[in-house]
Amino acid sequence: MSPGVRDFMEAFYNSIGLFFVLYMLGYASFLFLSVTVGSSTLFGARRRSLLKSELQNEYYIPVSIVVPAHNENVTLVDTVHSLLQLDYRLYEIIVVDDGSTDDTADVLIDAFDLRLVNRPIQRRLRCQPVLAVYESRAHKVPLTLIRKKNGGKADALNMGINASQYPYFMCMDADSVLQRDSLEMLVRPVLEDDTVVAVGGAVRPCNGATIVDGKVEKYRMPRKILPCMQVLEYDRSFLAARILFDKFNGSIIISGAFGLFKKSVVVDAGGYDATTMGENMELVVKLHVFCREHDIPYRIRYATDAICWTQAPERLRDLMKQRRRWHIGLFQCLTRHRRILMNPKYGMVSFISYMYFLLYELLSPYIEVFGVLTIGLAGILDFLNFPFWVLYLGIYIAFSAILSLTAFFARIHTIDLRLTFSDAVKAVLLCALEVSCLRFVLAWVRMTALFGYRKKKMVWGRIERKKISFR
Amino acid sequence: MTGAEMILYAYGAVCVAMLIFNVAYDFFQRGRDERMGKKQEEYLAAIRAELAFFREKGTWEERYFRRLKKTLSRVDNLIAFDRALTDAVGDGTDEASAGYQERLQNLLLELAPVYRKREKMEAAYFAYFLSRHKLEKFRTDDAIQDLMVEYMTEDNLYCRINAMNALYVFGVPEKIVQAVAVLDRTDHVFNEKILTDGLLTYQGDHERLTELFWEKFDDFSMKVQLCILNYVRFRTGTYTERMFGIMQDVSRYKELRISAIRYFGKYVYEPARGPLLEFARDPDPVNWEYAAIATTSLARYRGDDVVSVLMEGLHSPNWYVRYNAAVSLEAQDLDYMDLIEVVGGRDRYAREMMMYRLEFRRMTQEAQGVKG
Repeated sequence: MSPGVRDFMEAFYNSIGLFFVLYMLGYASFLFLSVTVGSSTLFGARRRSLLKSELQNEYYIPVSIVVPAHNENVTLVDTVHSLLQLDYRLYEIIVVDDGSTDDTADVLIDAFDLRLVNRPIQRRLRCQPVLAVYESRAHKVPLTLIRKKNGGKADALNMGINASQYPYFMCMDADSVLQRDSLEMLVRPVLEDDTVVAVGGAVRPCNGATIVDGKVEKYRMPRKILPCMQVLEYDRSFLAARILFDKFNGSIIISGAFGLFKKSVVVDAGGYDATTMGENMELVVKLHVFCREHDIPYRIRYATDAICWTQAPERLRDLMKQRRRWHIGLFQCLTRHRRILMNPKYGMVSFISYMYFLLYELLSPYIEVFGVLTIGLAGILDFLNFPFWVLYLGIYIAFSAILSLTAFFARIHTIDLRLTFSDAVKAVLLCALEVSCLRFVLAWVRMTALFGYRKKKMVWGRIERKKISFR
Repeated sequence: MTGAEMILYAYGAVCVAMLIFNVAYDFFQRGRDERMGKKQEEYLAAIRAELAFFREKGTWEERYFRRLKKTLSRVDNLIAFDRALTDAVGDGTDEASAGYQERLQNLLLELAPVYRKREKMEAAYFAYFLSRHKLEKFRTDDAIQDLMVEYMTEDNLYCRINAMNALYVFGVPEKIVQAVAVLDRTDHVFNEKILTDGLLTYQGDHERLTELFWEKFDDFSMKVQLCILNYVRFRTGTYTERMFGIMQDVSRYKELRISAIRYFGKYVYEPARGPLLEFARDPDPVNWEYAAIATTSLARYRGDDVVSVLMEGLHSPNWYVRYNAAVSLEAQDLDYMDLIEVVGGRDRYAREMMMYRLEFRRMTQEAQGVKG
């Protein structure tokens, strides 16, 4: 190698080194803040509960629960059963069958004795036309099934909002179940502060959980490695990062599996965007934009103690599909609302939330793969100090593992999760594997997600469903 | 070591410390319930011993209450004592139990300044304790109630809610109005439902409370005024004239006037019939909320004039007016099928709406039959 090329490569690697130091320092700082703020907040919440610093009386805000479904004949009946067992009085359930090609609607009609009705529905949000409406008044709360032409999940949610009767609606996935007290917990932030326009709940993988009558009877980490590693991921998100975003009204994502929204604001903002795959995130970002543009005082909250159990994919292929879909949704959302970027009008939402999702979620797979390639190139060009690289890799894995474990152990402050010795051992053993292997596999999946995504618009994500252990 | 490495190590060290704290806390927490149960048993035994002492000697042991005051200044002990007290004295109907609770009141007075200085969550718990065990109700000259009113200025939401709940139990209307006024002057956000539903749990003289609210009505913000109107609507139908005045007063906020319209939907008041019909007939799209709510309120008024307006409402361009008109018509004593033919025959939307209401009524009746 000529001295000129060598000098150039040295300068190149110095720049890359500096970039990665700053990049990783930013990421480490974010994770560090997340887990420390998350743990201390959960600790405070538990103490509040002990000291009766919570709403004691029975306050009920009427809520419409909207469940969009597409080919969900395996799990939908369990989901509706779980909804009928909620410890809440004033709510209705609206299932929207978005042009299923299986017997989703028939299964539901049989299970709950639904009857065909000629119900007029006000079309305040655009969506595909209704094929039929079924209702039942024979259960604890009104139950409605709307069969409509296929239009995607966002379209189905818009239909559910149109049909809803109450001022707040809750969206949830058809493959999820709620704990008995989850709706009550989800509504609390609205009762605490009436400027709240949306509340996200905590989502936990139900693989390994036995839920009886809407209460967790038994919980263990899943037996299979893949869902087990996802538990660690979920904990980092729901017991750490989301709590941090909540502190400064910076939540820009509410899981599609479990979120509460003020209907009037959502309708005024235009409802769900049926042209995006990340409709949940898009809606939340849109609410930030709408409220700030119209000078509406607002809060978007996260309720740590409102729990929804969902199925984590057990096969790598399903997980890859899911993450590909999430990444496309993230890309669509961030590009659609790019005016937020570095815009002082959006305050912390712009400078922290948007920047975090741009740098450490959307661009991270490219940056990570670029990092791996430059290390490979450095090895070929003999620029790599191998022992030093191994040391740094070790520090990276150890640090990430410690952060994952800190988030995982924060579950001791939650009301319902108890830590067992075997689960703790599993977490310790798997956290390094998750950081060093799964993360890179998913980085590759996310990096390639955007190739040819336009062809897949408005398609429901399919992963293998299993019956949820819910009685 | 570079600066970046130092930061990473520092972060790692803090996280490891948190991990250790969490593991240790988990072990501590596992024993906590057991310790709390044990403490509760100890308090229970002590209360029963003191009750026995009183039944035997006819007097209380001062030493016992001095010791109690000392231990109850710790919030964990107060929690255990709360549970024990509920078990030991129940509703306090016998002489000893009632006497014990009375004797306890002095103790609460002494504990109040102690908890006032504590962190807000502990202060909130003390307010919760008071709402459960304070006896001297219906007294206006009470230092503890003044303290609860003071809590309205606290930043901690639950401090305010628990204090308000205590005041509802104490049952002194002047203090409630004073507390609401203090709350209204602060910048603290609160949900109207919390205040309205809370007022409904008030355990004193509702009539006197409502009178006091009316006296100060115009001093409150619109939000509190709305809570008061909603509270009155849920509570009593005796304020028709005042409500009528608010409904007709165009200078009032829309929310207040609509609340008044709802009032006349719950309580039939003949002088309100005319204005309600006018609201319902108003074709101006700007006033659609008045029209929609008035249409609902007319459900309980009988007469051809009402039916005629509701039938007009079925053809309204506003969805809510149409829907509410169909519901209100259903409540009239008419042959609904005939109505569908007469009214709905000309208008597909009206017909659909009425047909659906008919199906809805059948389903509801069937469901009630099954449940009944």
